Amino acid sequence: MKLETGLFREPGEHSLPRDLAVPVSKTRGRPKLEYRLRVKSEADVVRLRRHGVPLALLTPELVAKNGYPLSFRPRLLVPSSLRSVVETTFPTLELRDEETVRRMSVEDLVAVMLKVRRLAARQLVRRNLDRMDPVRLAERVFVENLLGSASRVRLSEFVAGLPQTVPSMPEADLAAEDAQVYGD
Amino acid sequence: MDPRHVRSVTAFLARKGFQALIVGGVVMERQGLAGTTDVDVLVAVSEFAEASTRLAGDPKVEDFGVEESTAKGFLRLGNKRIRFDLLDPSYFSGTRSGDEFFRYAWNHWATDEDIGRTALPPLVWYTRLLVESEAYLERIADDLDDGAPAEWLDQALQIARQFKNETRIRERLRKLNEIRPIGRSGAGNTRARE
Repeated sequence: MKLETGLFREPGEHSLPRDLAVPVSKTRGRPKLEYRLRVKSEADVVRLRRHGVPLALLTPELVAKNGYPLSFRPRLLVPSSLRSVVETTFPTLELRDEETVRRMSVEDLVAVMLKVRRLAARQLVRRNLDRMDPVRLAERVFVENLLGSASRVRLSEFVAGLPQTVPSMPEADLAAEDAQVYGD
Repeated sequence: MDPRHVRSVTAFLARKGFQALIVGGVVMERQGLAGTTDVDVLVAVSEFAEASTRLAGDPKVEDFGVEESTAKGFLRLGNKRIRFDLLDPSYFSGTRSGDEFFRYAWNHWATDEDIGRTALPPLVWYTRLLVESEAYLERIADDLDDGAPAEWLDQALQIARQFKNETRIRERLRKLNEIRPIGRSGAGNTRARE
């Protein structure tokens, strides 16, 4: 048995763009409409975010902007609470907490990358130490249940209080990755 | 990575007399998987030995250096710098010669693409499995999580048999299996690890 959530609009609430929020059914006896979110492009995500919908697109550009050049297929970040109401052509990555998706600060980005490319997550931490809040990062790691991945790439080096729950990659291997310099 | 940049690197290397086989992240990226923004190429043994002579003095090449089986540098393209690594095939050739491995890879595990002669993914995984660092096993695990077919590992083993280093590859596969249990098929869309 699983819990399914829905997206409903109460009478009087601001509506989401009609091409993005597609009504699926009218709840019998109540003036509420159930919607599904249809996301086909980055622009759709931007528009939905403007309306306060917690979705985000993880792109190579976003990761590169934060100091680590990496090519990969963009992924739609979806909080678990919305998973069942989002239809998309993007590969999706589910996050436990809406807040991770809503803010997408550098700490949130690191947490997301721990699910996608752990080595890249470490490099993002190293390259953003001066503007990173270690307390928030630790909180995101706990909330998203990513202690194992964080341990594997030894994020405890940078975040005091983050326990090492599994053995990390060999120190020399991490040091070699840290020493890599990529182009512009 | 911008294919024009990859093409610029391979065209530059061709002008310098290298027969370059593209391996590494560029190959995986063309399969829809992730890759870092550098261009790794495999070259013949004699060409690797001459890499310094051919490249070090060129004004377009910056920060060139050779470390054991890799020659690294940056190609200057206007205001961009593209990192490239030349790999010595002897590192991957097991009991046979480096040139035998290079020819085998070129003839049997590569195709001609718009960016140049490009390795097939199982060859890239074979090379990654042979590198000591666990970082390369992580990359394979990530590719599998992204939907890469586990059959590529079988094909990597097939390559290993040709060069009598199957035992080594099997050891690495055991380690990879500790990092990420390997199924018989790709994992589909991105999956949470935990």
